[in-house]
Amino acid sequence: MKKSLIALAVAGAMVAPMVAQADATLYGSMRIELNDWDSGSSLDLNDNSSRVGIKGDVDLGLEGTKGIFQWEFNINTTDDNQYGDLGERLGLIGATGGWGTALVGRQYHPHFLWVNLNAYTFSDATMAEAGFLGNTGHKRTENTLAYVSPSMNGFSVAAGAVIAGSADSEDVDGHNIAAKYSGNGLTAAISFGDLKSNGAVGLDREVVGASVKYAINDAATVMARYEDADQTGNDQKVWALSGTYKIENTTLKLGYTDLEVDNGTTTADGDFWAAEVHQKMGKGAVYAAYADFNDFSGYASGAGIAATGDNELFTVGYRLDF
Amino acid sequence: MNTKIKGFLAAGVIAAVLSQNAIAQENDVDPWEGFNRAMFSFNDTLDTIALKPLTKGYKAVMPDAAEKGVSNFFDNLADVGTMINNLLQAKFDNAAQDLARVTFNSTFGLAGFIDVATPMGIEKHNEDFGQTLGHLGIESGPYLVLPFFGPSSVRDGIGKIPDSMVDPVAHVDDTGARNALYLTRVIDTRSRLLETEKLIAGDKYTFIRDAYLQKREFDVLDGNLENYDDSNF
Repeated sequence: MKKSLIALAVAGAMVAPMVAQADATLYGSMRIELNDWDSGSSLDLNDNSSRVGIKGDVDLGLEGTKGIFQWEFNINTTDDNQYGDLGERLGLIGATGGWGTALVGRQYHPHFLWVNLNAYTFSDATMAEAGFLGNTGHKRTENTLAYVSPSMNGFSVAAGAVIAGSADSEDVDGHNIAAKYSGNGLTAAISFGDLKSNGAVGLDREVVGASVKYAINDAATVMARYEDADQTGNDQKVWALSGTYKIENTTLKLGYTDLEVDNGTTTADGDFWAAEVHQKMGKGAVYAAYADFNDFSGYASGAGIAATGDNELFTVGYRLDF
Repeated sequence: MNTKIKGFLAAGVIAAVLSQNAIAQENDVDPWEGFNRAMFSFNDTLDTIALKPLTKGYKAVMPDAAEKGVSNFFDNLADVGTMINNLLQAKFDNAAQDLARVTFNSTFGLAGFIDVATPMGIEKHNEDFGQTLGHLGIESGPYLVLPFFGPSSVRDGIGKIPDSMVDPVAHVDDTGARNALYLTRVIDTRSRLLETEKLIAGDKYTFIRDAYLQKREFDVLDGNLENYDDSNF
């Protein structure tokens, strides 16, 4: 009798902290790579968006609704003078239940989450996100209030607004509405985003986008994406096709992206293709990838995208998730 | 007659038929035995006076880890030909794994000296043009011993020509470096056979011929032999 009581007490003592911890999860992903650019840079050990975060949920005493939170910051593993660079990536609070999810804070807009991430193919951030028009104003944007509906037979809608309240005439500095269908191996999304020039984001920019991802079988997946952004002096059109093929823990990836930029007087047309061999090892991964950029340099982020210059990138990377 | 005796008799008949087949097969597979034995003797002499002593010296000088590194290096180069032949045999998953092996061994594996792909769980394959021709249904033809190259068959001998064309060593521009690589590879290959050759019993020529032909049949069918069973060994 006494013994079993002690056993119960010990078991209880061990369980209690586990329950307490279950509310919040510490997570992260450390990603490093060695980049070899054909021109413009010598061999470079480069951090590939390492991040650490805390997320979890809180009991609100409501039936069917709980509070949620997430805080995530980037860690630079390679470059000098980065000790103070715990840049915030995400910081949001909200509530979720059968009625959907409402979020406030610095967060991804539906355009980036549904149109861009749905077609995310490569491990290297440059290759993966070159030509993501949602990177401008819709990726980890501050002062955002968003609502995401629950899935209704695979169908969801989302709406968000940027409400920054700075010294401008706009109450709503930008918004984004999107819809998504997910089922039978198919994920398709459309989105419309609008940013105001005199708002906190400071850009007069409209973007529409659509992306489709289809898992043909357990091994093969194909993705297609189209985006069109209207911005004074920097109109952009992007279409991209990519595919992945998986054999056990090995995945081969191949993709092509075409970008057209019109600055009002001249039009530039660039493209790039990329290939990657990716090996998953438990919760880690290694990869080697190659990309060939033709008249296409850097991210499609910010107003001043330069669709000029040829370059090639070969990279090998290592990643750990926890 | 009880069942046991019947069983023995049946086994005897089967054995007799099988051995007759084996003899008939021997004549089939090696109609050029005279020529082959002459070539074999030439190769064997060359091996005894030059290659084997050289290989023994190499093994004596090289630390085991370095020897392993050299073997890995040439295995990695061979994976290129294996990938091409897997593509030709429409074994796309295997070809994809070969590509992954070459990619990771050439980068993380420091130019192939370390085989990181195997512990990562990426299966190694072994294909060449001779096997591709066999996969397409072409019979091996008569057994053929080639001077310098050793045991082969008409099919596999022909396959060695495209093999040499996709061999990465053949594409090294510098003649000196290329020849050094060829020589090192020969020594590396020979060093791997030093242990195996201790198994040879009886007539060396026949033993090697039979072992070669069985191994090739096994390779062409990727081990899916009709009458192959682990328990037979």
